[in-house]
Amino acid sequence: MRFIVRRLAFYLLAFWVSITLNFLLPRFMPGDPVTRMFAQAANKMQPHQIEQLRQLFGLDERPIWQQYLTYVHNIFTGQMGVSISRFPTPVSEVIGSQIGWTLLLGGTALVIAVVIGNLLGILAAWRRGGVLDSVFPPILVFVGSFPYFWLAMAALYLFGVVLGWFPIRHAFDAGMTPELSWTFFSSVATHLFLPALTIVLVSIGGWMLGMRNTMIATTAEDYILMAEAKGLTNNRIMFRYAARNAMLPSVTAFGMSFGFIVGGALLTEVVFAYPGVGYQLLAAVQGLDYPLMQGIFLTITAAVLVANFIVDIVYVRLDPRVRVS
Amino acid sequence: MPQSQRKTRSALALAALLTGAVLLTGCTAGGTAADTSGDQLLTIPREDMGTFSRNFNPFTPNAAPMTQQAVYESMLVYNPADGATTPWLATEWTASDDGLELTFTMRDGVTWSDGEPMVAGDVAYTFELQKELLGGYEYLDTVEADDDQTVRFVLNRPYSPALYEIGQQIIVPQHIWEDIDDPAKDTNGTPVGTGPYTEVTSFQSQSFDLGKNPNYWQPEKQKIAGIRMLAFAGNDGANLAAVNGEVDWAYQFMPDIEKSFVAKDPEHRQFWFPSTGSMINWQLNTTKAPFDDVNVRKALSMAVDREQVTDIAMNGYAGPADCTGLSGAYSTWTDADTAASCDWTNHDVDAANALFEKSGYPLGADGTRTLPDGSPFTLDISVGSASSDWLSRPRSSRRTWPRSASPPPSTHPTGPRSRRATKTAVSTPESSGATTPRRRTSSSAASCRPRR
Repeated sequence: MRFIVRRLAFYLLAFWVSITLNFLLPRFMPGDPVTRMFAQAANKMQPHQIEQLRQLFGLDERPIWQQYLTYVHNIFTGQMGVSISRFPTPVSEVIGSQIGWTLLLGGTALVIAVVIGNLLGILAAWRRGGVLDSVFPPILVFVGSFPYFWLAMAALYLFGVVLGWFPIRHAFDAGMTPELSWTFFSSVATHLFLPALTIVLVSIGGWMLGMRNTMIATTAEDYILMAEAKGLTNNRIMFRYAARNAMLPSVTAFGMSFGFIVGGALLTEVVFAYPGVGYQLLAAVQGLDYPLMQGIFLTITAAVLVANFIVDIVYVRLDPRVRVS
Repeated sequence: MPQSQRKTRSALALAALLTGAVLLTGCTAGGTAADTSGDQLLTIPREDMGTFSRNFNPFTPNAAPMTQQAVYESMLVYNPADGATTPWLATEWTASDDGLELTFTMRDGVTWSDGEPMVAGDVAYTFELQKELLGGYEYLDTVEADDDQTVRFVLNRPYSPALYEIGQQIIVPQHIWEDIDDPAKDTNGTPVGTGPYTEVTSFQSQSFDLGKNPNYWQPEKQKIAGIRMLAFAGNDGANLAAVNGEVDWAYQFMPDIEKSFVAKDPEHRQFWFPSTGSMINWQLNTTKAPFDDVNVRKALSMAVDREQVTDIAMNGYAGPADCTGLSGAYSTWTDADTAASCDWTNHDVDAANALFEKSGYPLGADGTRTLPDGSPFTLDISVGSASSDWLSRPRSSRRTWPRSASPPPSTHPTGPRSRRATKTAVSTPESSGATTPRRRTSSSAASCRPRR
C-alpha cells in the first residue's frame, strides 16, 4: 500500500510538471494564432481582417501568470475552452469526436502487435535456431525499417486501388451514420483493416525481438533446468516459468505504448484519411491553437501517466520482488 | 523594385461526370454522364481538412466548406475569371453622383430555407451583425432598409471597392440570428439560408451531405440532389479519389494531370487552371542587407529561369508573370507597355552577374557569390511543407539557379505551414524566418477555389 501511495505522489508531481510545460511551450513559439491564420489564408485575407479576428476570438492579453492560474483552474474544472483553429467548436468536442477512432485504431493495432509479437518471440526463443527463429526476426526487422509512409502507401495502392479489396479512405462509408448494426460494424472493420495492418507490420518486429531476447536469458536460469528435471510439460515450462518472467519488460513497454496511443497515428491518418487525434494535433500546432494543443497534450499526458500507474500496480502483482523492496 | 518569383499555386478544377451543376463557385463543369436522373450527390474532396466540424456560422473563419457557397448567398456574384458581376439576391443597384450612397434593390420572391421571405431588413441586419462581430466596413455610416425591397448604404467617404465588398457580403436571416445569444460562438449546426443546398442531411466528421433547399428561388437550377464533401488530410488521398473517379470535382494540385487523371477517361475527364488565383512570390526583407540593395533583388530575379520553374514545379499549369504583377483576373487591366517595360523578369545570367559586380558582391574562388565582406552569400527559403507543389517550387528554382550568378539557397520546409501558409520568404541568416513587407510584384496564378 505504501508503495502505491508513493507512486501516486510521484505521478501527481509529474502531472504538475507536464501541465506547466504544456502551458509554457506553445507560448514560446513565435507568432500568435491570428497571424498564423492570416499566413495560412495567403492572399485571401486583408490586413484589416487581423483585427476582426482578434475581436472575434477575444484573445487573452492578460499577464502570463494570470493566464496560468486560469489555465490550472480550467484543467481541474474540466473546461478546455474553445478551439481557435476550428472556432467556435469547443476543444472537448474536437477531441471527443476523434479520440474514439484513435483508440480503436491504436488499440487494435497495439494489442495485435503485442500478442502476436510476444508469442512469436516466446516460440522463437524456445526453439532457438529453428525456422521461426532464423526466418522471422530478419523479415520483421526488414519490414519494420521501411519508412512507414512508404509502406502505408504501398499497402493502400496494392490492396485498395489495384486489388480493390479494402476501402482506401475514412473510417466508414460516406453517408453512413454510426449505429448498432451489422452493416456499420462491417464497414468499420473493413476500413480499419489496412491502417491497423500497416501499423502492426512496422511495430511487430520490435515486440518479437524484445521478447525473444529476454526469453533466451530466462531459459538459461536454473529454475528452468529445475522445472525440466521435475518432468513438467514443455508448454507449462515455456509459458508459466519462462514466459511469465520474461514478460516484465514487455509489460512496461505495453503500458508506455498504450499511453501514447491517444496521441494518434499522424501518418496513418494522413495516408488513409483515417480520423484521429494526430492530425488535429498537427493542425493545432500549425495554427498555434493553444486551447486545442493544451487539450490534446493534456489528454496524452494523463493517458501516459495513468497507463504507467496501472503498469506499476500490475507489476506488484506479477513480480514479487517489487513487493519486497 | 524587388522582383519576386512567380510561380503559381494552381487550383485545379476537375470537371467530370457532372451534368450541369448549379453555379456554386466560379468553376463550372462540362462533360456528360450516363446518369442524368438528378439523384446524384456532387462529391467534392477537401484536401486540407482532415475532419469537418459541424459549424455553418458564416462569420467564423473556418466554417464548414460550402457555407459560403451553397448555404448562404450574397447580393452579387463576382466572377474573377471574366470579371463579370451577376445580380444575385439583389437585382440592381445604383450609386449616387457623389459616390456616398449605394442603393440595392432586392430580388422579389426569395425565401429563406425555412419558408420566411427574405427582405431588405435582413441585409441591414447582416451588416450590423458583421460590424459588431468582426468590425470592418469603416467606410459605412449607415445601412438602412427603406422598405422590404430597398436597402441603402450611406458611406462616410467615397470608396470605389465598396460595391464589390458590400455585394459579396454573405446575407443571413434576421429572424434566426437575432435570437442567437452569442452569434460569434454559435456553431449554427442547422443553417437557414437562401442558397441551393441548405439542408444538412448527414454530418460525420469526415463527410457530410447537403440536400436541396426546399424553398430555393431558382428551383430549375437544382439539377442535382445534393452535395457531399469528403475530408482528406493531404493532396495524395484526395488525388487518389479523383483518379479513381470517386469524386466529381476537385480543386487541389495534381501532378502531371494529363497522364494521371485525364488519360483514364479522356472523354469525360477535364481540367481547368484559370489564372485568377493567388500568386507565388518571394517576400524579401527589404529593410535588411543584402536585400535592401535594388541590384541584388534584380539580380536574384534575373537568375531565376521562370519558364523552367513553371514547367517543372507547376507542371506547366501556370505561366510566368510579367512585371505588372497582375494575375489573369486582371487581364483586361494589364497594360502591354508596362508589362514589357522591365527587364528583371527575364532570365538573364550575364545581366545578373553584372548587377552583382556593380553592387560589390564578388565571385568567390569556388564560383559562388560572396557578400562584400567575403562571407558566403546564402539565404534560406521558408516554405510550407504540407503540399507537394509548394515544396517543389523552391527546389526547382534552386535547380535553375546558376552557380556563377548567385548564392545557393537552401530550402527549409519550416515556417508557417499548410499549403496556403506559404509565401516563399527569403531572409538572410540574421533575419531568418522574418517575412517581410509584402511586396507583390509579379505573379501569375490560377485558382477557382471558392471563397471560404
